[in-house]
Amino acid sequence: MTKSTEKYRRVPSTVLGTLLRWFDQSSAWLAGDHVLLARRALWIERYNRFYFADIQAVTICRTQTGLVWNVLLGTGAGLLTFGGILSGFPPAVLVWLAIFTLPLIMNILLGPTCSCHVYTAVNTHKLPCFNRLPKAIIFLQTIKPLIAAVQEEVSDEEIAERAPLIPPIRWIAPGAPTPRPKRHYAGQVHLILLVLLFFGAIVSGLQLLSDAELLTWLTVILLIAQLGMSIAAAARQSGTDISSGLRAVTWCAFAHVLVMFVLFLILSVVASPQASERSPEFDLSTEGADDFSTTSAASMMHYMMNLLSMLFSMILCFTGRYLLSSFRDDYRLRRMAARARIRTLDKQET
Amino acid sequence: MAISCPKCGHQIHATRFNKPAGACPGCGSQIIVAAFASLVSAPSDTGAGQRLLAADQASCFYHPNKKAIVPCDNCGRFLCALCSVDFGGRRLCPVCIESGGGGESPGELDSSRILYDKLALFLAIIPTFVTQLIAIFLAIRYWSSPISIPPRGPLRWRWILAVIVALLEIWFIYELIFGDILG
Repeated sequence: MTKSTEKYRRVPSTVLGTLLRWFDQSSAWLAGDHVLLARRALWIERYNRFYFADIQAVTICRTQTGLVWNVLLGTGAGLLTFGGILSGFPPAVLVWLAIFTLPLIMNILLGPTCSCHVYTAVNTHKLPCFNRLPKAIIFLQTIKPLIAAVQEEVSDEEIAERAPLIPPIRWIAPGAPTPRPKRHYAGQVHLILLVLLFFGAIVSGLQLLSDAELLTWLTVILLIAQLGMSIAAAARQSGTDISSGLRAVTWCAFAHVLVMFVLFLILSVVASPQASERSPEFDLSTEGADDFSTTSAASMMHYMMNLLSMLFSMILCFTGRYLLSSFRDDYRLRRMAARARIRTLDKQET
Repeated sequence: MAISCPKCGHQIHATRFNKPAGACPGCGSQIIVAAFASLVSAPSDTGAGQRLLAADQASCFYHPNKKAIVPCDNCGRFLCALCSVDFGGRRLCPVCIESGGGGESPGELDSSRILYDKLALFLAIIPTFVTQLIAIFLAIRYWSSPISIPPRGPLRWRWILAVIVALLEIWFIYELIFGDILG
């Protein structure tokens, strides 16, 4: 191992990545013989060093996080634009539109999301600073020649030939606690969340037909209950054997409820008495469109919100119900098989 | 070490190494695997250390029954072949590596650091007399000490800002308490 030069230089990045690096909580630096990963948490900085001689592999796996954010932010921005067109873009809507649109543009410009991992002989480490594909590829292209210069020359074909001979190992430090097996969770909290989503869909459907105040109050109560239950479900599913599909449903429900909550707040601002008082100023009728006032625009947006909420809640509810029942069936079958195996072993022993 | 998909844990076959992005057979995610020579090369044999043959021979500090071959470059303890770790051209014992080199090699072995300038700035912002004083103390005490291992620019602007904010707030608190009463 050569002596480190201690002259760290930042790993090259994309133009936007360089501009936004002030907000990054982690960063990667290149030294003469290693990569330094620095992670900040408030005023404590933690370091990991990966020596070029020790790096066995680097993987970059594309993730869907960026796409999910694009869909959520795009939906929000689209609904707000639609509402803005109908109501003549009052300042409150413009502010909310900016809140949704700027992160959306930034997310698109930064590129697809990914997760980057470094493999050494004893562990695998995630590099959280390379969470965008263009940035991660630049990192890989930068360190490839540096690693190749330190390690012995082996062709790609030779690596492919010899790699399967290595048995997968699991390294546990002496004295370290053994990893706990995932505990079983039958999905009770998820079931309550799905029931709440179902009732939410029904109330949204009823609101399409009637403007009763009772239904508005019911919507608010259900939104709060759904928000609390989705947080509880997300916390409950952590470290359990629940299927990845159900996990995704929980997070989708959380995002859906959050978006609906924001939209509900926007609508309450737009349709507030102050907004009605300002209506001559922002009313499209002053610009020649006589059919819409702020109130009618707000009710139109309210209608759209209810329609979307009903559809999305229904989809989430039925998908979640199907996934939950198949997960429970699967678990029951596995348990029965395990019991049968134990019974057979007992019989063999006797 | 076997290379597996970070998403689903499915082991990636070696034929996919050092190729353009391909789909993981487990979850279908696009994955790039760059494998290097150390993945297939045999690990180097460091030796387990020789047993003591004579009573007057120096023994390892951590293994009294094994022959010492080198002293630790940081703490000076005698080490056997098993305990001696080649680190950045120096021979160190595992304890010195764990403790960050005993402060004699700044930046080389540290696994974490407290960013006192950030802490001082944070404390300076909190509008209490005590935190302002702590912020000024931190700025004086740690002004010239190393802050972060990676370079953070030549200017210690956080220190300066923390002191200015702390002094301004102390003056403001003083004026608020005594200014009205005396004036």
